[in-house]
Amino acid sequence: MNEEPNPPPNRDEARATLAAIDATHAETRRNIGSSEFGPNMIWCGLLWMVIFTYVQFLPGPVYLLWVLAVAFFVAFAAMKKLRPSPVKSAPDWRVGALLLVILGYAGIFWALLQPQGFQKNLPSPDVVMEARKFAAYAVIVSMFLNVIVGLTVRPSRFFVGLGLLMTALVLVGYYCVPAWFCLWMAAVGGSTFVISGIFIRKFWK
Amino acid sequence: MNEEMTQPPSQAEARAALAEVDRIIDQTRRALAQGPSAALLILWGCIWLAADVTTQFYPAAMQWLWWVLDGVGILGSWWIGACHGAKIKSPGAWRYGVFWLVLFAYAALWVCLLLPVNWPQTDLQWEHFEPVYRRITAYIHTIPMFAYVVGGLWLGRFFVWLGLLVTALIVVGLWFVPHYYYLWLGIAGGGSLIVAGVFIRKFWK
Repeated sequence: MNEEPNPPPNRDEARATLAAIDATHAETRRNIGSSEFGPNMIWCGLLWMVIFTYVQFLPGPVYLLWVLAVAFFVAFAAMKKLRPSPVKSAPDWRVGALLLVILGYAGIFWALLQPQGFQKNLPSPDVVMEARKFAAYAVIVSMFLNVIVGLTVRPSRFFVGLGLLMTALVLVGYYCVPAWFCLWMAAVGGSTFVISGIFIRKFWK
Repeated sequence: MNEEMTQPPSQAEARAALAEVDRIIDQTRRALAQGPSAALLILWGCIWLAADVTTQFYPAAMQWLWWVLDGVGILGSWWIGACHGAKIKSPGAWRYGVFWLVLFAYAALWVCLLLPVNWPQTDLQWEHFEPVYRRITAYIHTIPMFAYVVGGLWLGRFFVWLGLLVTALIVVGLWFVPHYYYLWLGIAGGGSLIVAGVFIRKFWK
């Protein structure tokens, strides 16, 4: 974490270091652009649109739907991994551990702040409100993960920007258009993912 | 993110790589011991201890005590950071600051979303508010522990275990030690932080 102070680099060394940083950034972008990341984002956006549109018009146990969606997405990503690929990804157990830690703590936070959980026999409008709250929380937690990954694990303004933008969109939808929150999420959130995926695929190669 | 396939390392290379990892872990520990971590742990441990033990025996203090002690803690952290900052330079250090800011911003967002409360104005209102305050206290205490666990994934297992231990102690206290909850938080939570800080200071140098 901390390092002893070194003698300052001369101008040529500094220039060479900056060039190396630029080259690494460009290489990373190319790697991401040619990996499955872009298509995964597009699939994620499409799945997102379907789920939120469904929830808007047929509100019910939204959390089960989210679990199904995550399971489906993980299975889909695993299937894609099984296909032989010329590019191998260096395994970083910390990213997986980070995901687990964030999910674990998100569960603890939910339990602390919503100790009653999902109440049964609530009047219909309250069920919808609970579901909406859970959906907003789940999305914000996943966007928090994006911001943290973009800040620390794989420093990237793209991840940080996407996470913050989506968080802002969730809040706008939750507080400003509550009646159409899920449709808002489907249109705005889903399309943000799809457009980001297309952008990466097209411009980061 | 992705890397081209490389040749597997030989036995000697693997041994050298492991020795290098051990050396870096030792170096990180020494850097942590010489850096501000231990002092910060002791400072915040003392603040937890003072605030929670006072709240246990003088509940009226919950209205203002945390605000005052948090102010002291923030100023103290800044001072400790400034003292160490002059001696030790770390190129990516700003990311740690931004990480904490993002974490607290999201933590505030989650509490507003999941548990929107009207803060009480009178003593009687505070009395009725206590069960909610208890959960918010647990939540707020858990946030830095979450940061320790996440940071520990990169900085060392010590912080992972410390974060998980104190989180478990907070949750156990909330559900199983209701009558002496704040005392429990002060001694178990604050005490753990102080012991951890002293341990780093004494054994990692």
